[in-house]
Amino acid sequence: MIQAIADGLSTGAIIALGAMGVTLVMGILRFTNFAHAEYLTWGGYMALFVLSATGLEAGSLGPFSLGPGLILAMLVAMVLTVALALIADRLVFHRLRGKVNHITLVFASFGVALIVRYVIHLLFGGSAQYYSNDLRFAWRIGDLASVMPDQVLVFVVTLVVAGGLYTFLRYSALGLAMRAAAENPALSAINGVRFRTILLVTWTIGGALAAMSGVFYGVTVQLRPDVGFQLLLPIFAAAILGGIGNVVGALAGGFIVALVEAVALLWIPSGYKLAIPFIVLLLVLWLRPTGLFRGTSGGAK
Amino acid sequence: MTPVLEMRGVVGGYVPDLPILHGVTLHVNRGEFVTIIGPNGAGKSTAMKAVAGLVRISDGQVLVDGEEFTNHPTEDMADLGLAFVPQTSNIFGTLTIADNLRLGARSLTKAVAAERIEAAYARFPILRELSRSLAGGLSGGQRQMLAVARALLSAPRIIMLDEPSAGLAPNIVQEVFGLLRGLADEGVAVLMVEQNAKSAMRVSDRTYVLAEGRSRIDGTSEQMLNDPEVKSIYLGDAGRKRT
Amino acid sequence: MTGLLAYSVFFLTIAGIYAIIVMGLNIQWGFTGLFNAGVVGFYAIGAYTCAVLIGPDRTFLFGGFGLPFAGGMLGAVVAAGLAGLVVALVTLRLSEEYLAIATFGIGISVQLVAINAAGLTGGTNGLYGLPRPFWNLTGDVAVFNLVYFAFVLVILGLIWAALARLIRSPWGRLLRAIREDDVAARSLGKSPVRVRIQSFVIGSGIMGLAGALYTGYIGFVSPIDFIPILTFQIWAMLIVGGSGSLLGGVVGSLVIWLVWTGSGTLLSRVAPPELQAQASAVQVILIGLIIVLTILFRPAGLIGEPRAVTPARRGG
Repeated sequence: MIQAIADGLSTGAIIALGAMGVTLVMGILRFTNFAHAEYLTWGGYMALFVLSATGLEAGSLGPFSLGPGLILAMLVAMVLTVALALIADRLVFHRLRGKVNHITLVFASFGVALIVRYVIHLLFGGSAQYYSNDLRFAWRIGDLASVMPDQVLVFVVTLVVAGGLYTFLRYSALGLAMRAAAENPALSAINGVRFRTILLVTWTIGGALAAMSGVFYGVTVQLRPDVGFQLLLPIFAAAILGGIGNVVGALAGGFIVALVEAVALLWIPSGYKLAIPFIVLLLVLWLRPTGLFRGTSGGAK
Repeated sequence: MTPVLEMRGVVGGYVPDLPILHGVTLHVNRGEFVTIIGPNGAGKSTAMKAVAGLVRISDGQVLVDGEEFTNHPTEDMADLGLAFVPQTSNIFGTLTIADNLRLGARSLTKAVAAERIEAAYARFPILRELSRSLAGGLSGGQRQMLAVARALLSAPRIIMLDEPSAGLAPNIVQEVFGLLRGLADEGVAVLMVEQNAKSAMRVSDRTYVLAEGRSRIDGTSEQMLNDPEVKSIYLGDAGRKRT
Repeated sequence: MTGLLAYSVFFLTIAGIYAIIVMGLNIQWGFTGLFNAGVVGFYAIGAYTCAVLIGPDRTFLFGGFGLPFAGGMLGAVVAAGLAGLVVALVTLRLSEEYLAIATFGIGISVQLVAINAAGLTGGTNGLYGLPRPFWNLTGDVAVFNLVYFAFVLVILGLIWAALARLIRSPWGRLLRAIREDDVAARSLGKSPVRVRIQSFVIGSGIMGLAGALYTGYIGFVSPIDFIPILTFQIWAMLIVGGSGSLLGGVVGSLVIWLVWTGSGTLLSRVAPPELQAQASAVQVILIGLIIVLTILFRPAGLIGEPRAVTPARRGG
């Protein structure tokens, strides 16, 4: 049980990073982007690409595999993932926005997701890959559980990032403009809030968090082209559980989804792992569609 | 004298082939308080939204201080000195009152913003009292005050208000109208759409009657109040009661 | 029969089964505007239900009821319809994207059950040795294929006729009214949610029926017949043909199935053996591109109603 919780916390952090981006895009741009999970995969592979293209070693930092090389690669991957998010928006979503009903936009995002996932498949192959082949030793917590140092790092970094994002939205002028645009786009335009700026910032945050999440997945688990496909339901379950537009809710949602999954797998055969977030999602939609943490449909906190 | 705001034969609507405005012509001078009245569905709100860039103009012109402003992006409006208070959803309910005001002052320098927000609080003391609570919890009159206060923060040349009296108690309506009169006297061009025609005409300088998307009659508010046609058609009980 | 002719009959039979799934999706999306991201799930539910009902009794499996094929078809429709009902009840009163997420989840969950619930579905081995209708009548593969092709065509024709009738009925007009404008439909005193649920269930049932037809044709079902990409192949068929058009759906099924099998054949000949896995990725990218480009540049598809794919909302 303790072991399940410990594993759930690092998986939860990875889900939360994806869910925070999804919830912002849903809340502010009012767009349910099914390609978002593929941005995670893209980010993970871009870091791998940077390492192999530059010949850098992932390196290590104390007990952690997130060494200088991989940190640098992750930063580049974040930029490349933001670029992908912006290009997809410019080429596809932006052309449709305001012209078609929003569910057609959702449909287009499925098309984009297919393209991104299988382009990765085409470029990097379908087998699992790792940033580094170095062996790491687990930390033991008494006799109860053993955790990898990287899992702890992922958990802590995610909390810090979420705190930073919350502070940005809550206190900065740009964050205020984003919250305003989330509630009422027309009124925020009347107040001089530029949609293009909001669009740019939202995709930048979403893309950067997605890349970080993808790299963390690669560090703690492995890279495969279907990482995003596997994480899609957990991410959406977390975002909806947390209340759309609610960043702190998405963080909590990520941990809840992962913990439920980890604990449930003590009884349920692991083959059904992917169905667990789906059941959580259906329960939330059935019992409390606004999420546990009072999401505002079309709002950002 | 060049009017601050001028509409010349403006045609437009939400859907390309279905214009709601069929030729709206009006102007507002500096320091002038102008009212638009007319029956429901006449295109009064649409005319304002056309100026604000929220409705597509297919023919005609909008000029601000003599300069082309037709189909100008809504987002540039605030910086160019145009303020607009829509009829509904004119405040951010999920933000605090202080944040609503911060948003209205976003293009100003810190010092100027602080000064103007202070002035807004001085004008509406209740907003200062409630500054940390969510604007969604305000009463109708308080919402209207916040909406106007936010619009004024950018010190606009023109302020357009869509039915600012809607849903307000009569004494508050007089308060809001008095405030607008004062703004006009300070040199701001005020354009207001109103159902509450008689009270609006009593405080304003000039009045336009809009019907079926066209400017029909106009003149000084005093003339119009006594105009037999305006009286019978637009100031009758039927005209006033409709919302 | 020559090899090419035999292949053509196989090709057309599968295209016909897909065209039936497209009909189900057309009811949901083309006529009602309901997004279904788990088409393959409803299709698989139909196929497996039919397989369990008609299959021979086996000690290590649940089911094997040995029902006649008509019973399997009926069971497939009911099971897929019920699955549609559950999803619809949970999500249709909410915003539209929740339906997309939930149906996506159904697609994945059904696949998990197919792979893992070995006692019911045979697991990764699937269910094999299933009786095929008309087999005893014919006894010859070539004749069976022709007879079954005709059978699929008859079912397709019946569904086509039924749907054409349905969409001209007052209920069908109500569907379109709801797709265009929820509020207006509600003011007619009709509950949009209820009509949406009905539409979604009918569409799901039709997908289930297509699944039963597949089982009857191949006589074998396994998880690899129901990979997630199938959902988007069906979607491509619908919008390329033209969503909201029954004829368009059939044309789109033929075109996309031809593109899919054609590109597969071509790639397997062109690509070196070590790159075969990558080559199949190109096929999927192609489907993704077809979907995105159709939405962007030809939303009406080849034949569809001009506004069907993208009913614009007034005031943006």
